[in-house]
Amino acid sequence: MKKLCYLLSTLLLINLLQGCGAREIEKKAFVIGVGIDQETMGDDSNQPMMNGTFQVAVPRSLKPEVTNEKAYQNFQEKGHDISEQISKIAQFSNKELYFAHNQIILVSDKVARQPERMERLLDFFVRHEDIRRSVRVFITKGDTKQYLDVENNEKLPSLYIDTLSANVQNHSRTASIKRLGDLQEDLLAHRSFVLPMLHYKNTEEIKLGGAAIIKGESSRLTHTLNEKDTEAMNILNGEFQKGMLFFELDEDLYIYKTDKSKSKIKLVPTKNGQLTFTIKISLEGEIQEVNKQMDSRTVSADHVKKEVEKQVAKKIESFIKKLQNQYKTDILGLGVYMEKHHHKEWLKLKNDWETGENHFSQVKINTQIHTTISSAGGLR
Amino acid sequence: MSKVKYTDRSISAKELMYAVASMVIGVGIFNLPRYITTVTNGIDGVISILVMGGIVLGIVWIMGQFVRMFPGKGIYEILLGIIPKPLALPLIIIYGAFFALLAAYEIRAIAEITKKYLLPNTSSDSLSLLFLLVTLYALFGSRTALIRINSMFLPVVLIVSLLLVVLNIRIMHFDNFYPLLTTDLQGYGSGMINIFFSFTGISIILSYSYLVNEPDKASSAAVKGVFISIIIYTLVFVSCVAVFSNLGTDFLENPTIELGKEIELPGGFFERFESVYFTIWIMTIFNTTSMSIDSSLVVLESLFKKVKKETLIVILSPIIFFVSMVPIGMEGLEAMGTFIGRLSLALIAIVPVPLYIIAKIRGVKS
Repeated sequence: MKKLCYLLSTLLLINLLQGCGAREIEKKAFVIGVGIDQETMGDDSNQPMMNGTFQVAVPRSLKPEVTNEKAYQNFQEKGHDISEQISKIAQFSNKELYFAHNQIILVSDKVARQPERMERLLDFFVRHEDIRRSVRVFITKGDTKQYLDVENNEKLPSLYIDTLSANVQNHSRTASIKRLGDLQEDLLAHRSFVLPMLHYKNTEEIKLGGAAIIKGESSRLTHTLNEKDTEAMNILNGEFQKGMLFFELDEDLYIYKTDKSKSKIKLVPTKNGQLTFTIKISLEGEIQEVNKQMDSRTVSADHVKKEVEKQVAKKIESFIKKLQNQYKTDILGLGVYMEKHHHKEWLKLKNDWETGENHFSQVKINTQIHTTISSAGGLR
Repeated sequence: MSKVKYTDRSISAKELMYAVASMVIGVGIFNLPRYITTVTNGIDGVISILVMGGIVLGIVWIMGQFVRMFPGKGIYEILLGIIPKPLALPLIIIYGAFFALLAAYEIRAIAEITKKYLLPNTSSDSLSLLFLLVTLYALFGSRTALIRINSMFLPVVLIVSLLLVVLNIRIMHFDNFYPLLTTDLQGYGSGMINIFFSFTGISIILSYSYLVNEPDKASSAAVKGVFISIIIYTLVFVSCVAVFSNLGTDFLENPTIELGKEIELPGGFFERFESVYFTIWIMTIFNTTSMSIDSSLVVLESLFKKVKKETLIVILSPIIFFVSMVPIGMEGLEAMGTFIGRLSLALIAIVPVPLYIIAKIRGVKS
């Protein structure tokens, strides 16, 4: 016991050793969000110009008694890269931009559409010691400037977007939120992946929905997915938690809400050498709502279950077709699965997976859907 | 309250265990994951750690046997007892220089990392000097006290290292472990050689051999100490791969610090976990640096028996400081680290084995 006391007190005392370092807080401008836009006006250099928006919190106006003052300030500057923009900002800002508390990075779709632009821009954020790898990255439709000026009851636009992404568990109509660290891993491995998309609605609201496909080989945005396709993608990737399915059954409208969503990829051996995958999807959920006459009974769960499976199959089949023929981009993780579990075969396929011979669009993808209905709410 | 009876000038086997574990972890943990991921795929590096760890356990056992054969004898006397003086003298000088070089490397490394993560506006030379001065203060004191500090710091280091792993479980992707066993033999081999640098710390068993008052238990205590560090290394490596993936770890300068940076706890106080981790790591580095300078002093004392310890410190410390200033930038430091790693492989892994065989053939009795 005595030893434990000593140990605990040492642990506590150690914290006092840190102090606050040499960081003088009042000389720092706390960046909470960054937006990167395309700038048409270039100069002699071949590198495209960017416009960076750095949102800085003004702690003084966050106090409840100060109501009429803006709680944030947006610094904007043009430059070829982030560091150049920051150094230009230093010419008119009396405080040094401090990135340790940065929450979000917004990249405009115009920027992301340029080959390799994203990874070049994100280099600053992964290289900088202060910036955390848990910063969340979004693609915005249109310029990021307007997104960082949205004001509602949340005084800081960056915080609004950040909390918006925290509420994503109540729908499944957007790609899952991506941390900067995970993004870097995907870019390093030249994998295709998706990023959640933001849509500007008005001066008070932003909508989070859909997904942007970043193709691994050129690391640029190639296509955007609408909300319906994003749902199908989430089902296939096992990320359809809290997702909703609306369907008609016996002239009544049913709403099925998933609780758990899982998926598993498996390579099926075939004789003729055709690559065939089976994606096992299992959904667990409940009937959220049935728009029917009050006096009729809820139909048997089995009946509903079959209909759910049919609906899901319809949804994902058309999506897979689109993905293989139109987008030609592997965002289902089939390549990753091959790399991890069938490494030898993958080394042969690797270079022509999404380009050239395009093995991805030639593989056969079977799906097995398994759903369970855990409850139908309080009614029978 | 019982009175502290620390007037004796020897250390127990348990204290040796703490010292070895703390010395090993202190030097090696920061870059260890990267050293392995550069040459292996997926989680395969674990094999490198475990195999090398096994070899190191063997070496450590041999070192412990030296202590048993020559109880109360210093490193130079052990060498003289096994090989003739014309061979022992250059070897002991190389050992002395090696310890000084290791200390120089550590001083520079701590300065560079402190500058990078804590004090960006302070120059690394002044940080090095400051750190060296603090270690000198410890060196002027009693040697056994220096070794005993480890018993106080090590539990804290272990707890924080475990927290580093446990608190990151939420963001681990266990899928990153795959593909399994795809590394070629050469990869495992160079992984093992790279990682040996992280086991450099075992060298203090030789220099502090004469202080151990339970020579029979020296081997098992040292083995236990190394065993603790193998466990910590494996855990940290596995969590780095799980969090950053193999490729991601490879591209990070200091994966273990980044692992600390990933942790986000609600409540604000512990939100910046890396600062806690960093503070504790500086404590360990303080221990290891002072022990490696001290080891160099042990060698010098055995060579110049008439010179006072204080005089030797005053002569040695400026040399160490200047050597620590030699490498240019992070790249130079990295090259210095690689050089020390290779040197330690020769001095600590390879040399003791023939020495032990010669000692056995010549029938040195304990």
